[in-house]
Amino acid sequence: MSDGDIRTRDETLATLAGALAVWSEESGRVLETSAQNTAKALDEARSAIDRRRARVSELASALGALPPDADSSSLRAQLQRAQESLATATRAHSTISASVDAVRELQRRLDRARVDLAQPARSDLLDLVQAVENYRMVKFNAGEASVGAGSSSSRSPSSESKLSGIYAQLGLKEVNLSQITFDDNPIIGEWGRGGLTKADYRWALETWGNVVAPGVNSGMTRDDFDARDQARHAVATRKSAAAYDMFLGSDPIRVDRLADGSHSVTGGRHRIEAARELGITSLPMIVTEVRK
Amino acid sequence: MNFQSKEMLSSLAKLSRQLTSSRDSWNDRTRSQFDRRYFDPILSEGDVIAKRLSDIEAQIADALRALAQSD
Repeated sequence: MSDGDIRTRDETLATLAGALAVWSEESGRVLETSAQNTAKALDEARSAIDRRRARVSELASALGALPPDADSSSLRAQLQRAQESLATATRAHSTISASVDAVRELQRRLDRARVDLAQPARSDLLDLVQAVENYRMVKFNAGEASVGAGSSSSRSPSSESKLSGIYAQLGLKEVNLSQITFDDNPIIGEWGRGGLTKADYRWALETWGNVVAPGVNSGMTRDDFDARDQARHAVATRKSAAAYDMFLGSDPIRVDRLADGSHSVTGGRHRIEAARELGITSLPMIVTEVRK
Repeated sequence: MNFQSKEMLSSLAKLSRQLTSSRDSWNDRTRSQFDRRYFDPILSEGDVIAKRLSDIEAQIADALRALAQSD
């Protein structure tokens, strides 16, 4: 296998894993929208039944209140139409009620497909990506030197990719998190700026690894992620464009590389801490050499 | 009400195409194992879900139409 094959296969597997994640997420969204619309339709049918039942009752009362010798033909005709209308609403309600159950069954079916198929497929694909990364790193470590960059991560992008071109433009390096410490400046109290929770950071890191990095490698831009967020009506803390900004924006993780080879964090402790908890072993960051 | 079935079914079809396209860009001996184990069943499930959802939504649209016409 040549280096070219490795890179192409690596990128393809990462892209495919990302496509599986999108398939799972978006299919779920489609079915959820359908379930909501079906529930609204059921409400509409239920309201129609209530209104029409009241109308039938009203007409029946009016008919019963007529004097024996009065002409009841008009009221009887109205009552018949109202009863037919009520019967139609009842049939519609029955049909839609069955549809509500059917959509729920589809949601359960999709959930099974996610758990039994999509998740293990993604896991196996990422294992393959990891295997390729490991293979590359064996060669890398054997023949070349680097400033702590290129450490493997099951979620890290290929070091030879469109993403690596962006890294080069922004002065970013993929750094092994085991080399980083912020013991002298630990995280205390509230988690994250702007009200971001640990869950928000974890989501952003997962999205970075599973959606954004593979997407960038397949040619997506920040505008594409923004459009994706808008199409999904994503809330501020669940935007893939925000995950993009978190690593490729104006406030990247920053570390000082000290003379002893260790790295001290000057910005991004929360991202690093959340990444460690997720088992992510490397992230892109700005590395400043500090000699003294 | 706007049932949006066309948009949703179009989304499912698009997802299926994207997944198929991503899979088809992967072409080595491992691929066929993944096809049998994962991708064929996933795409098949996607087709079944899309078809059933289409039928369900058509039934609901008919029911809502009858409801409106009988008001």
